[in-house]
Amino acid sequence: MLKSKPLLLLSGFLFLLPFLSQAQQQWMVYLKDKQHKNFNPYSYFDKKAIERRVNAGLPLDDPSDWPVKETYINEISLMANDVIITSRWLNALAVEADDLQINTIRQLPYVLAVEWIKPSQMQAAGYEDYDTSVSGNEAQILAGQLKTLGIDDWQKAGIDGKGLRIAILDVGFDRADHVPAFDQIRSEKRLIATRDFTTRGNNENVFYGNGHGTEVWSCIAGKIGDIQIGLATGAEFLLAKTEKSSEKFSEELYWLAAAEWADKNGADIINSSLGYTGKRYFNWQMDGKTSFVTRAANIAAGKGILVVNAAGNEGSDPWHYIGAPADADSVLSIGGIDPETGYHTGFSSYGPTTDKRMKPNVSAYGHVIAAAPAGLTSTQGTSFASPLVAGFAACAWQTNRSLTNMQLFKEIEVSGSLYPYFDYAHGFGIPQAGHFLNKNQTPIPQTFKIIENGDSVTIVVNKYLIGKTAASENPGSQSMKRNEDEPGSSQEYLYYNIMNKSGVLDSYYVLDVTQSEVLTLFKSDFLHGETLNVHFAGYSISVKL
Amino acid sequence: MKRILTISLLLLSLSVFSQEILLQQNVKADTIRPSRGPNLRNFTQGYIGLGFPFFTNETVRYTRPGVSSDFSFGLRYKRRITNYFALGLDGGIHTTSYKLKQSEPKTVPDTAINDKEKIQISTLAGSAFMRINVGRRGNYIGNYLDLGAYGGWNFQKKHKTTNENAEGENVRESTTRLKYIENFSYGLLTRIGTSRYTLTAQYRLSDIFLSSYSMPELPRLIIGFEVGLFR
Repeated sequence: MLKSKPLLLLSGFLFLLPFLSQAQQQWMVYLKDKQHKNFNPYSYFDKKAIERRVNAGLPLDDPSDWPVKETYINEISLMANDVIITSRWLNALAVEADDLQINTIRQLPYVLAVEWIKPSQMQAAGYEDYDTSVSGNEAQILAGQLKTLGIDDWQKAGIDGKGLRIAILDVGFDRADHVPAFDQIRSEKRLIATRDFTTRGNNENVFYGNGHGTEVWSCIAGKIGDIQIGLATGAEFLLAKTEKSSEKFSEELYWLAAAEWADKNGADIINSSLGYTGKRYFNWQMDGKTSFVTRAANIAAGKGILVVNAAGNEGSDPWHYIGAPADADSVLSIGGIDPETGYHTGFSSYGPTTDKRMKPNVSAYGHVIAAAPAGLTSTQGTSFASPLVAGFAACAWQTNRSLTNMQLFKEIEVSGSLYPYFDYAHGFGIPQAGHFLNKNQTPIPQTFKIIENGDSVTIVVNKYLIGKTAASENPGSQSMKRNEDEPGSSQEYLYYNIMNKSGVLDSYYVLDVTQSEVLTLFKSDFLHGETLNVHFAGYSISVKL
Repeated sequence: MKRILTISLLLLSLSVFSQEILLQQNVKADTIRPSRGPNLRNFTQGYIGLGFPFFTNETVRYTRPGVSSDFSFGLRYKRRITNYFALGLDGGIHTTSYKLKQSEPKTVPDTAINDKEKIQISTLAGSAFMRINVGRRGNYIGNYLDLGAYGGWNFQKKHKTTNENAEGENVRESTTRLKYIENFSYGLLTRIGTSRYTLTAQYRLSDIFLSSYSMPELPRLIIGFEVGLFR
C-alpha cells in the first residue's frame, strides 16, 4: 500500500529537521573562579571610574572586576567556534558552539554552569543638507520637552552636565559624526570613545546603520545654534552600538559588554533606550531578576553608575508592562508624557514590576523633537523620554557630586512633579530642577481638601484653580501640565489612587477637573486599611479608608 | 464582586459630577496571570492552508502536479507542556482536487477523454500532533516542528468533467457520492513553522480508491503552506 520513495523522502524531511535546528547555538559559560593576578584598578579603570567608585564608597579592588582567567578563555576558545564576549562581572564567556562542543566545555573542571541562550528582540521606539525647520506645533514640543525639566533654571545656574560622563547604549548612531547637533561636543573633544559591540574586533565606528541613537543622543545633549534639544550639553560621551536587528539575544550580551566597557571608561550615567519584551520573556518575568539584561543593569548600578532606561512602548499592546531592563530595582525607568495632554501617553508601558515595585520611576515627554541624521524630526517613544531624563540627571549630579548614584536616583524621584504621590503610569511625575537648585522652596499652599462625612469622602478643589493655569496662580507648584498655547501653562488634573496595606496600588486614576466637587467615595466600598492618595496642583493628601 | 460594584458606583458618581476620567488602571485585575496565549498553557488558533500533490511517478499520468491542490481550514488547539514541547489537536476541512491528465492510456476513473476532469474529495479531518519548539521566547509561538497523524471522513466525493459541445458551449457534469472512493483517509503529517507561517507536509497512508476497482493510486504526498489566524 505504501509507496516507498515518497515515504522515504518524507521520512528524510522529518528526521532532517531536528538536526537542521541543532546547528550552532549561543551559550553562556559561567566559570568557578577568577584571577586577581595582574589586576591593577589604576591601570584598568579610567580615572573617572576610580573617582566614581571612591565617591560611592565602593572598593577599587572588587572581585567582580577581576579579569576572567586567560587560560580559561584560551582553552574554551579552542573548543568553541567563537567567543562572542567575555564578562568580568559575571565571570563568564558567551560562546558559539554546537552540542558536541558545549558538552565538552561543560565537562571542564572550572566550568560552573552552562546556560543556553537564543535570540531575543530589541524593542526600540520609533525615526538627508541638514534641515532645522520645525512647524509651530513642533516648536512648542521642542520648547516643552526641556522647559518641563527646568531648562530655564539650569541655564540660569550655569548647569549643563559638565564633568559628567554619559554612556549611550543604542542601536546605531547614523551620521552622528556629522550631525550639527553635536558640533560643540566634537570640537571640544567630549566624545571620549565609541565602540561597536555588534561586530568582532574593536570596531570604533558606530556612525552607521540606524539613526535611533543619534536622536537619543540629541535628547541628552543636542544643540544647534540657539536650538537646544537636551539638557546636558556640557557632558562627555561614550557611544556604544549594542543592537543589530538580525541577531536577537546576542544584543543582551552586547549590552552587558558595553556596560562593562562604559564602567571601565568612567561612565557616570548609562542611558539605554532599549527594552526586551515578549519575543524572549513573559511579562511576569519583569521581576527585576530574571532577564539577562536586567541582571547586567543591576550590576552596572552596583558599580556606582546611574542607569537610566526607557520604560517601553507597550502600554497599548497586550504586553502592557515595562520591559527589561526597566524592571531592575536599581534602574531609573522613564515613562512617557503626552505634550498635548500633559499626562501619560498611551503607548508608554505601565508598571508595576511583577514583584509590585513602582515603575516607571519618573516621566518626561514621550513625544519630542530630536536631531535625526538628516534634520530635526518629530518622533515619539519612551526611547526619547529616557535621554531627556539622563540629561537632567547629569545636571542634577553636577550640582552635588558627592551624591552616590542611588542617592541621586532617590533625589530625582523626590524631585518629581507628583511626589510624594505616585502611580504606575507616571511614577513620581516629571523631575523638577528646582529641587536641586533651590533647597528653600516655598511650601505649596493647599489646593484641595478632603471632606469626610460619615461613610463618604469627598474631594473638593479650590474653585480658582479650575480651568486655570496652576503655575501662574500658584507659583512654585510642581504639577504636570497640559501643553496648550504654551508648554508649561495649562489646566491641572486630579490624580488619585487606592493603596493597599502593603503599599501597593490597587487602582489609580487621572481626572479632568471641571467643578469644585470632584469625587465622592464611600469607605464601605473599600477594604479596611486601604489608603486614598490624592494629588492636585502640586499638593498631595492621603486618607485612610 | 465588591470591587466591580465599587467601580460601578465610582463611575456613576463621576458621571453625576461630570468629571472625565482621563486614565484608569485597575492593577489587581491586570495582574491576573493569563492561561491562554501562543506560549501559555492553552492556545487555540484558526488556520487556512494551501497545498499541492507531489512526487508520484506512477500517477503523474493521471494528475497535473502544481494544478491539483489541497485547500484546508480549521481550528488548532495546543497544550503547552514545557517551553520546548507541546501536544495538540486540530480539526478542519480539507478539499483536495486531483486534476486528471487527459492523455492515453487513461484509466482513472475511466478511459473517457475530456477537456477537463478532476476528482474532488472533501474530508472532515482531525489530527493529533506533538510540537517541538526551538529557542527561548515569551508569549510567542516561535519556531517549531510538528509531528503527528491525521484521520478523516471523506464526506464529499465528486467527479467533475468539462467538455465543449458542438455549439461551442461548455458542458459541466458532476457526479457525487462516488462508490469507488474510500470513505475514510488517514496518514502522517509534519509542519515546520515560525510564528503564523508554516510549511506543511502530509503523507496519506490510506488509499483513495477501493482496492476492488484496481485503479492506480493518486499522489500521496501533499506539500504546502499555512497561515495561522490569531492575534
